[in-house]
Formats: sequence, structure tokens, C-alpha cells
Amino acid sequence: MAKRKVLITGAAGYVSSRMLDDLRAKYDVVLLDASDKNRLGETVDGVQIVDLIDPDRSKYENHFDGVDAVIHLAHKGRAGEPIDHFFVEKQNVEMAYNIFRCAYDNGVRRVVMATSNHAADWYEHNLIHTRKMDVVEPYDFPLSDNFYGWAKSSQEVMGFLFANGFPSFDHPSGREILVEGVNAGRKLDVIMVRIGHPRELEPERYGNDPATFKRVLGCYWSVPDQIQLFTKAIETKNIDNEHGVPFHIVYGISNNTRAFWSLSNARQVLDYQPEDDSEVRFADVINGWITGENVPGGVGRVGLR
Amino acid sequence: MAKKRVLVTGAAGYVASRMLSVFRERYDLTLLDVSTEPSPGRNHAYLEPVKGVQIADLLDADRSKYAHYFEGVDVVVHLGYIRQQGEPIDHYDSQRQNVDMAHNVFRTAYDEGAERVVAASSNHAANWYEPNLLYPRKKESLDPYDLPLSHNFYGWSKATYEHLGFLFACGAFGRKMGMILVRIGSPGELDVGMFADNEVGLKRSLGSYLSQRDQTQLFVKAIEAEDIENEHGVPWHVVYGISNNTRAYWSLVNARRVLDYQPEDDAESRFAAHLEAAQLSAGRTGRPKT
Repeated sequence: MAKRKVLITGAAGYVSSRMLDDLRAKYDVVLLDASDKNRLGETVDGVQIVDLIDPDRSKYENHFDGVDAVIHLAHKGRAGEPIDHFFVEKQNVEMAYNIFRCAYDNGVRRVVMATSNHAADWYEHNLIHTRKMDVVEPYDFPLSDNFYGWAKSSQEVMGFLFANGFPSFDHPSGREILVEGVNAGRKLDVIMVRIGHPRELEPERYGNDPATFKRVLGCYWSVPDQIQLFTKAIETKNIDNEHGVPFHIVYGISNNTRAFWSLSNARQVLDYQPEDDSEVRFADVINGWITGENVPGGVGRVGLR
Repeated sequence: MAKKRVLVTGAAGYVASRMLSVFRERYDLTLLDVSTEPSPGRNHAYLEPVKGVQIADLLDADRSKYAHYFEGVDVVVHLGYIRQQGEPIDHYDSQRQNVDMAHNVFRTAYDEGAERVVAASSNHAANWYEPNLLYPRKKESLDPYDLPLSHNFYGWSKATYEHLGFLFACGAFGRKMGMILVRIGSPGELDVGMFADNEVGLKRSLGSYLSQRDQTQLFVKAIEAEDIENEHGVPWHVVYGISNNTRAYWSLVNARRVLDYQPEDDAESRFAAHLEAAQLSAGRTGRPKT
């Protein structure tokens, strides 16, 4: 059987680097990025340089020709004060539109897009850490306290539009759909992956702060689990939700004992079976620092109380 | 007591036209729009140029050009909006500008110390549920805090700036600015004749009807309610803007509780005579499509 053609944006970036060897082996890959250098300044083989924020999609639409699935990981980094992050983040929203639109127009079957746990991070900071809420579901009303999360949730909801399909030109307002229920056109499969914490855990990275470390123990995502989730997101045949719309938001974390984001739909729809658990993987660090007698970590899953 | 200083964007538009005379009595107003002429396409309360409207392009990324209008303002009522053009899939190009405009208004209000913004959102922010779940009665009522799923970019942009409003309300950047997003239903009298061959459309409109006085009450209360903090101390709410309609399928629970909204009209009573003519009172049961 011919390999699937899979286009990866942000192909020279960090999240991509954790699975690119595996994706190259499995798929006929098209790699795009704004630069072909990785974080260490090394050239990543096969990456074509493209500006996907450019509204003139004709400049890069050709790369979507014959593509079966798109993995959109590209993201423009922000700078300046938090209140000014809007200006960069809206460019990330524009880039997401360009990706969805090129995929939709060129017959791509499915888009798997990196979103982030930050799309709903307000709950974590205000309710999860204080244990007023136990678990965030992917379909809780998305609330963030920063523009990064805001942009991610905007992209998620935008993905739903493409999964639902667009009507023909003679239904300009949307009102006609409400009234007549017109066929909304072809549906693009869309899976939005709210990435947790895709890196190995070292206490020093978290300022030796046990509360923060307990948090990342909940968010941890191992390399094998990331590869499994993205692969299943590409290959699962039917991803229709209960209402027949091929759209899901799933969290991207390992099978962590301390998890506070729900994996139930990832397991159910994509058959995601994460193999790692930060509690086991980092038992050495946890023992004597987070758990044990007279340690700063304190009881409970997250937070210090 | 001094009148509240209220700035209204989209002040020459249709939604503003339904409550401007009351606003003029109650508030010290600043009116902004891109034109003083009433916008085309809807039945305004008047057809003359709207008095006192100052011209400002709130899409301009250079906020210093209009920031001075926001100085000393207590509450901003954001109704400004640009129309979408072209095919549905291309509406993103205009709707992203509405997101930019909302950002410019929220940010300027925040920087200039406004205590609150009341912004027009739309029922379209979550319109996907309507034909897919509400009409076939797989869902009875839509809550403002259900996941905002839309099937068009108009709704997408509204949902996007509801969330944008939350950022300014939750204290992420320092102070908390009050924020009420009003998901407007169908603001206008029902011309039952327009629905002669369209029972679904008629039934829908009977659920989404927003009378002029109820709209005015809701906006006045959104401006004047003293404490709008939600259960978590964030002064932010998404409320539906409809009358007390028998056939309503959007929840008014938080509008009633937080803003003490007490709508006086019900499309079912108001258009009873027409409904008889349309045979809706003669045994056609249920909501749209049932």
C-alpha cells in the first residue's frame, strides 16, 4: 500500500522533533516551516521554507496537493508585555485559517492541529489548583487568562466550522441554514490536540518549586505517547462525534496519576492508550521531595494543600 | 448624581437606534461610528443622520487616533461591526476585522480606565446547536456557557471576542474590567407575512424575538448593575438578549439573576393575532421542525 502523504508545518520545531523520525518512516512527508533550522541551529533535512501567515495562499497552496492529512504545529512566538501578545497571537489565528482553508480547498481528508492546554488554562490556575474543580473536560467552555490560550481556543472553534462544512455561495448569511438546514458542503476531519507538557521533567527546571512540579507531573507527555496520539489522530478511520461531525478536541498527555485534564474522548475516539505515567517515570525524584515525611511537596494531587 | 459617561460604538446603526433616545436621557453620551447616516438594510427608528455621532475608524490599529474619546468614560457599549462579504468560507476575511475592532475597543477601554464594556455578541456564537440539536429536540435549551460552536465565521468571531473579553475581565493584565457580552436574538418586530411559506423561520423568530423595550432594559441594566462578578469573582458574563418568549430555546437564567433582567414582552402574546392567521395556534405542536 502506498504511504499516506502527510504535510507537517512547524516541521523544524520542537514538538515536531520529538516524532519526526517516526513520521518519516511511516509516511510520505511534506515538511514546511518558516526556517529549516532547529533550536540548535542545525538544518532539518527536507524542510521547505514557507510563510504560512501570508494571506496570499497561492504562494504555498501547491504543497497541499494530494495530501491526505496535515499536522499543523507551526506557531509564531510572542514578545513584549502580556497585554500586547494579541498582535502576534492573532497572526497565529490567521495562520490556522490559511491551513484549514488550503486543506479544505485542496481535498485534504484530515487536519490534526496542535492547540494547547492553555486554551482553558484559567480553570487550572483558579479552580484546579485550589481543588474547586477536579478535571477539565475538553468541552468545558474554553477560558484562558492569556492571549496564547485565547488564540488556541479561537483556532479550535474555527476548526469546527471546517468540520461542519461550508454551504454554497447562495447562502450568504447563515440564517438560511438555521431555517432550512441546507447541506453545508464537504466536511473536513479536524482533531485539535491540546498539548500538555512535552518534555522530560527535571526539578531544577521548575525552580525547585514542588507546587509547580506537581503540576507538570499532571501535564507530562512522553515521546512515545505523543507519537502514538498523533499517529492515531491521523490513522483512525472514523472520527465522527455523536452528532456526525468529524471534530474532536483531545488532551495530549501521558497516563499520569496526577492528571487533571480528561483523556476520556482521546481514549474513546482515537483508542489512545498512553504507556507512560509521570508518577512512575519520575518516582526517584518524587520520592523524598514530593512524597515522604517532612517533604515540601505536601499531600494531594496538585497544589500544596 | 452625575450621569454615567457612556460611549457607544456603532451609534448610527440599527441596534443603537432602538435604544438611543433612552440613552440620551440617562447618560452623558459619546457616540462613535464610521458614518452619521443610519446603516442601510434595517428599519431604523429614524432615517435622518444620527445627531451627535462623531466619526472614528475603530479598525485602525493606531488606537491613539480615537483613545481620547474613551477618556473619563465609565461604560463602553460596543455595537460597531463591519459587514461580511462574499461566500461563507471567505467571511473570515471580514470577521477577523471584527475581532480586531473588538480588541481595539476593549484595549482602549482598559487603558483609559473604563469600568465596564457591554458588547453586542450574537446568538450565532453558538448557532450550530440550533438546527442540529435544538430543532430535533435532542437538546431543550442552550446555556450561554455551553461550548460555543458555530457554523459560520460571523458566529466564530462573536465567540472569539466573548473569550477576548474574559481576558480583560479576569485580571490577567492587572485590574479587572467588567464585561457583559449580549448574544442578541432577533431584534425587530416580526412581520409574520414574511414567513408565509416558512413555518420553521417563523417559529424560530418567535423564540428569538427581542422587543425594543426589552433590549433597552437589558442594556441599561448591563450598564448600571452594580456588581456583576460571577461565582469566581470575575466580572464577566455572556447573556442572551431575547424577550420573555414562550418558545425561547436560549437560557435567560444568568441575565435574570445577575442583571435582574425582567423582560416584559413575549412574542407569543405580542403576535397572537398573526399566529392564529398562520395557523400556529391551531394544533401545530412544538418548536421549529417538530
